[in-house]
Amino acid sequence: MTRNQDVEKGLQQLLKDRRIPVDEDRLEAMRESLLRQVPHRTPRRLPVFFRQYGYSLSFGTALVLVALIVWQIIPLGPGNPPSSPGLMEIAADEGRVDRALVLLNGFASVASQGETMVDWEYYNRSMVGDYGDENILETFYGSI
Amino acid sequence: MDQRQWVDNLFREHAKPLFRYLRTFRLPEEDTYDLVQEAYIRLMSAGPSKIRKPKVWLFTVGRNLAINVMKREKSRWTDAGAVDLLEDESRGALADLMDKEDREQLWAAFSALSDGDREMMGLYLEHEFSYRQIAEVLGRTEISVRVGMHRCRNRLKKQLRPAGGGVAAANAEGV
Repeated sequence: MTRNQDVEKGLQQLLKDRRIPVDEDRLEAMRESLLRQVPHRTPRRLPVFFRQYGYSLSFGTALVLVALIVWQIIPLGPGNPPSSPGLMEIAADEGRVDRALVLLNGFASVASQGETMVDWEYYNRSMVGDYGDENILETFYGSI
Repeated sequence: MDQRQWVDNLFREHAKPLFRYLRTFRLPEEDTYDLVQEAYIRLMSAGPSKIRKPKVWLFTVGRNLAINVMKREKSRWTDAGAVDLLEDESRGALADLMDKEDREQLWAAFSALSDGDREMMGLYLEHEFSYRQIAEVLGRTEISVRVGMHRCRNRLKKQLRPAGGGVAAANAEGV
């Protein structure tokens, strides 16, 4: 042992003997308090697979979710038109509106000629027969 | 070993040294107890799977908490709680090693070091951390700690030399 080590040994002893009062009772109370908290503070243990591949799995899950969302918004594919079911429904509605407008024009023309309601019925039913959709007329009557 | 046993063992083993270490930051005593408790609460929340070296982890977390408190409550930080006090009575191995005058000289030399140097030497000598562990606690590189310790020793030597005589001075001269 060198003399330098003797100095360090002396200093080490000085530091260890330093007067730093420690309240043992308080530390004991702290220990008991901490041990009571253990059940509430214990981190949730995931299965080994998740612990091992947790990050990869999170990334993979995020990737799949993003792909699903994109697929829902833009369902492109071979042979598929670039439109969603919602858009197709709107287009179909527009078709019905067009047919309803044709019927309304029919009512307008009949009304201008001063015919009775029965005649309107007859006239429009014949028109509906042409278009093959009687429900449109019923919907129209229901709405007025 | 379950979590409860793990915490219990670590508390019995390291709580007191941790308190002594944090006390050297000269925070109020109450705050120091709170810091110890907070360090152990964080230890429990992290769990054994994430902590490989619990002693180093506790000292690192405790130190960071102490620094945060010091930054936040600068006004409350005074030297009133200074704890770098020597025992009045020599005892045990120390009494055999050097007399009271030498002890006082050595302590004066140690006290003349900067706060950072004292902290580093305290971790090395009092808490018996390796250079690598000290580097982890202080957030420095191991090389930096080695160089720092070398400089500390030189400063101690310089401080002890002018006094002349005494075991400490003689020992330091022999370096």
